[in-house]
Amino acid sequence: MPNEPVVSTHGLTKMFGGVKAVGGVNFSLQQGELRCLIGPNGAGKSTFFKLLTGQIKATGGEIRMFGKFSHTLTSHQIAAKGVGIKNQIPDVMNGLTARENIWLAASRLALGAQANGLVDEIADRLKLGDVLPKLVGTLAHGQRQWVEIAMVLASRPQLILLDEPAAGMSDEETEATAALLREVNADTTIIVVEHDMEFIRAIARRVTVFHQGTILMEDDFDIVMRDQRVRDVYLGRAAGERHV
Amino acid sequence: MITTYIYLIAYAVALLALISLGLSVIFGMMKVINLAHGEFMMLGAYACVYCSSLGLPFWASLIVATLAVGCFGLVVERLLIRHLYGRIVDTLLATWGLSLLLIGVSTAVFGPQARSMPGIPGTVAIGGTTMSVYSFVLIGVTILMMLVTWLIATRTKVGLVVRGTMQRPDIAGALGINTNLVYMGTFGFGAAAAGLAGAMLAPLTGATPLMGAAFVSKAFINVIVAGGLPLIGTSLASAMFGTVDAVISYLASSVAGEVAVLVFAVVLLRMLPQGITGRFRRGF
Amino acid sequence: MIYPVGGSFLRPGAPWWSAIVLAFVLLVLAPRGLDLALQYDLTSIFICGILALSMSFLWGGVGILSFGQTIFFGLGGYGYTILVMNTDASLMSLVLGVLVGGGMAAVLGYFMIYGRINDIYLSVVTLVVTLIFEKMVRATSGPEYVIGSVRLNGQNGIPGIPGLQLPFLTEPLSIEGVFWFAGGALLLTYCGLRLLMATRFGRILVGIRENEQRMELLGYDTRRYRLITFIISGGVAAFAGGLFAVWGSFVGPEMFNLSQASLIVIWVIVGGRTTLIGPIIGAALIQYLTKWLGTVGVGQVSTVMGAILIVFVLLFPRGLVPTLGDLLSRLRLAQVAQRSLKDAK
Repeated sequence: MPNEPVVSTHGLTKMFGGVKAVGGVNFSLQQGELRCLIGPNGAGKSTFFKLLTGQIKATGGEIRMFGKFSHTLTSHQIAAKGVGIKNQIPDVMNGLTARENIWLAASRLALGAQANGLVDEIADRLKLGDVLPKLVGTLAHGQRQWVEIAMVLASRPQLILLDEPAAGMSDEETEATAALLREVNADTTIIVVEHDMEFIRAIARRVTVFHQGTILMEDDFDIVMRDQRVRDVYLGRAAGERHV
Repeated sequence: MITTYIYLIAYAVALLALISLGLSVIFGMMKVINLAHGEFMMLGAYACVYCSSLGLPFWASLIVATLAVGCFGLVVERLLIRHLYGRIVDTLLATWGLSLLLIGVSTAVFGPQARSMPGIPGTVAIGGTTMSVYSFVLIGVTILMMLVTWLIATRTKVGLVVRGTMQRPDIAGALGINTNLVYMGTFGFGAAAAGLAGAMLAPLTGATPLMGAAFVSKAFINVIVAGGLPLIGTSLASAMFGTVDAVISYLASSVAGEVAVLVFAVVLLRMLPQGITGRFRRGF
Repeated sequence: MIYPVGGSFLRPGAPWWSAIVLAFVLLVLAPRGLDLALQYDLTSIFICGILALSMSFLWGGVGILSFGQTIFFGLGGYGYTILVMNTDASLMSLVLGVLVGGGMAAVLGYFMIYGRINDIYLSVVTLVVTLIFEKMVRATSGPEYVIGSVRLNGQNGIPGIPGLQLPFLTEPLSIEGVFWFAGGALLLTYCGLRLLMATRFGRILVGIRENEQRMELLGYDTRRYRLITFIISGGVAAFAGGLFAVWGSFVGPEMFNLSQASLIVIWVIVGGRTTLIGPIIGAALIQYLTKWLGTVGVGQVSTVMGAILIVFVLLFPRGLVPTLGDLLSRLRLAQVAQRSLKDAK
């Protein structure tokens, strides 16, 4: 008997006016997975992400997290269940230092010296020691992304949801982020929304392909890459553009 | 009885729409409540009283007051508001400063006592209810003003530019529209509408330095509940609050009417935090 | 450390504690050197300082700009007055007055904060609420408006409020006693809020001020934090209102009015909203200025206040204390740079 999935959706639907952004998605994710959600622009993957994180409300269908319904919850309630969330655009407290940012993430659960210890530990792990005393607003884009990843880790989540964590990063940073995610995956379940193929290749795990608001297919990275339908809707078009 | 209610409600709705229109046009464009709105009305009232004391006929005084406050609005935009675009809270605070300044200066210049002027006298009795002619003039002017605003917004090129800038200032700018000019014009128009409202009030209440404060609270609530669309929002909100205000004021007192409007508004905002038209994507 | 580095308030160090102790000592000694009229004026500045704190804690702390702190100030004053004139238990009435203000803040704050209305709306709604409170109070001049044995008196206000009777004292507080009491209250309120800002709670507030959405995604129920802050702030403002009634033995609808509301905003803007000490200094300066304007015959205080507000918003939007703080640290940096230049030579 398979374990209870960490996240599952049933008939999840989101309408914007008359447009079906997500149309009846059935999705499930097992403990310990590192899953990538891919798809061309407008495939509905970001909307799906926002539904999972409670940032928008579904028009229909249901979501379960850790076995309990979560589609009625607000994002702070979902986060409080042990879900680490990072949106596409770096979303940090620009007026505070990196240390304060990570501390705020750590202190929801950890108190006092424990929180400070956690900040140092994570800054060490992500090699952020130098930027800790700096105002986040003054940091480069890639560094702000890392501060935010540090915040997600500092909240000690059981499940991490990331929307395009590698956007705007240099190749080196992208590689390092992929390596970090693989390492974190050892004890945490992760969902990544991404369209950077190099990044997904570097993670190379199970992939869910979105197309026009539904799931086109779901399989291991290599199999997905070889699939003709996926090439048609996504890679094919990208390849076609390259030839023009 | 029914005629009394219809009359009172129509009058309250019109008055509310009249004092809110200028505020809502500025709010729709800049997302800022102009806290000096009441003082713009006060200036309109003084201008109207002054013209009337020079012997100008009522209608001419009304037009001069409207234009004068409109010009004043253009000056304010150039000297003050322009420097604060994008700083919404600061704009709010600066207009409050302007409000205090105008109250102080007008007290120094005109003195605290009310200056009155004749309006259009006379009453009519319909179905046993006595109604003043002036209240019908006020309702008529309000309808006219709304109509003119609507025509400018939807039937002219200027209106198209303004609506476009309201929706997406960045894109309007990229299309070569001088958004600064649009903002300035909108602010001037909003000020003129406030001036007209004040001028219409002058025969009713007289002009006093503090008259703005007596009316603005209703206008503020009305515009906030109306949401982003100046004309549709203001009409809907005025209809709603005007009715509540008229009925409660008639049954209890005018203070009770205002309290009822406030409580109603706060409860409504709990459910529709962006106002009635906050989720509308189009319209004016 | 008075001025926050980064954004959060640090735990205050030895200089801060010594300054607080010094302030307490000065407060205790002060009445010996000051005549009664000056004590009386200073007491009103202390009360204004508490009122300014209530706003800067809310605005600087969690980013809510309430234009209607006068709602709670007035309710605190009227609450205290009505209770003390009915029961004679003055300390109890002062406490209950605070609860009245806090309760009103809870109701109003619930609707606005849980409705997630936009910040500008919140500012304007609070302003409207205070204007309507003023009108309501003004409409109570008839003899039918009586609570217990106290007539509300509409725009004439309620005079002749009995003095504050503290336990273990045989007589109500004198002018000197009220001076001590209000000064002590200001110091304690300041210390309390300042220390609160350095706790986990205070840092979370600063996080919410900086980016509410991110704090939600970290799992914090930001609406609850904002509401709690709003209630504390309302309670502090109501406390100031109660003290005001004790000080002047009079309350009137002016406590709710537009110019009182604007003064609070001006104190905080002038002093600087990102610090807690700034607004107290702002309140002292502005109150002193208004009094001086009165004595030199400039009746148009409102003109001057409007001009000050506009000038500060345009030129010194951060307020005096942060601007001066910056200037000082820049000077110090320049000195250090010069010294190291000399050393290099």
